Amino acid sequence: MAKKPVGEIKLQIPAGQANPAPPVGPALGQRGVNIMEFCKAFNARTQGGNGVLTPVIITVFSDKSFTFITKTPPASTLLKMAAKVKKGSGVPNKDKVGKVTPRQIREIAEQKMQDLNASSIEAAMEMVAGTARSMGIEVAG
Amino acid sequence: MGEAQPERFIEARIDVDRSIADAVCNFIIDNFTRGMILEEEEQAPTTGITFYLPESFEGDYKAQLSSYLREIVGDRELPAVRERLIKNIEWVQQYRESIRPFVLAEDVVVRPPWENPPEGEFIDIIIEPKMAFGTGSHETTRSCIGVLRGRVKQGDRLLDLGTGSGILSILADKLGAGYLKAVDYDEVAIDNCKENFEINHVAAPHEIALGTISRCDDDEPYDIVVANIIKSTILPWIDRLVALTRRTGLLVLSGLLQEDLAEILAALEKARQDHYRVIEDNAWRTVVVERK
Repeated sequence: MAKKPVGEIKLQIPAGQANPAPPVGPALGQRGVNIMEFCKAFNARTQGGNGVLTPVIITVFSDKSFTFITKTPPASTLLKMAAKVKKGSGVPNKDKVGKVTPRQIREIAEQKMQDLNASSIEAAMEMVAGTARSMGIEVAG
Repeated sequence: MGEAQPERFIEARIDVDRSIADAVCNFIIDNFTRGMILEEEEQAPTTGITFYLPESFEGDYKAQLSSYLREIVGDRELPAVRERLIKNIEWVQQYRESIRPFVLAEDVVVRPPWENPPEGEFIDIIIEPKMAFGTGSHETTRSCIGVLRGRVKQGDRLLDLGTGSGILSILADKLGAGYLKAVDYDEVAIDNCKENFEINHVAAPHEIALGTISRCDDDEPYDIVVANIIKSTILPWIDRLVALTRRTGLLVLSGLLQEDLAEILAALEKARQDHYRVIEDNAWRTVVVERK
């Protein structure tokens, strides 16, 4: 008989650095998932990722076994990489921390299109540009 | 990993409009912590963001977060932060309760202390499940146990790198090993390994060492070396691992995926070790090298 999925856990954690501390421990422990086995599998699969923030979706089955998929980094992480900044602004309306071009916004939107659940590339670009504004990253050029 | 965890954490949750969720997550990552849990019900307009801070976290994270949210939501109502204090032990306990006994390599039983051993002739290994790898259910543990079960001889010296719960060393002891060295860079694993050595009354002379392969710099070569870790750790160690395995001894490399094999095998060939076989178990690979 096929195993029945009983839940889904969504996390964002650094590539190659999962450990049993929060958020991994509490998120998986309460579902009875073997925390250390998830950490080993996640770290093996993402070991080349240089600690970049990685979204992961874990499907838990009725027998406590699990599978997971990883996604490309969140748009906010890609924006920081594109703008070459370490952090977003805490006061984005006042303090700008960097700039990206409309072309970079399009590239990020294309990369994240599926995850953003947008109806068109233009809608996805607007979402990414909105995130950039909320981080104090200007879109110009 | 590597350091003891705080006893208690602040669990904070905030529900925000999906359109600003990514930016809010980023603010949390930039300023407070390195990971989070996301919850998004289908059709719901909001994303639930849960993150954890050590109880001793300095600074008013709620005020900082509110101030940031005020910037990005304008005049709209500010989402509230809900928090509670949770104990480290809570999720460890939930995890422990999910551990079941396993029969591996036909006659090796791995079980938590509260489960009874099955009827019959078994090699009985008791593992207290804590935050260390190796409770018997993982493919790589299974493969390594299969290899050791068929290979460890009376009096063998065994080096167990990335020992985790100590499960492989404990099996080697029950098979008659004459000396064991168990090494792990995680002190939580080392504590668990010591506890499991005691529960299983490990009889062979042994050393349990906190650290990496550098803790073996002065060691005589071993009859068997097992490293169930990860490619990025194993690869730079290949020459040292080969040197730590005596001629005609066995080197077992695990924690590998199919895509890791090419680099590992190339490094072995470069070290003039071409007498190996690969064990496949689901997505995982174990390379067993007969040392030349």
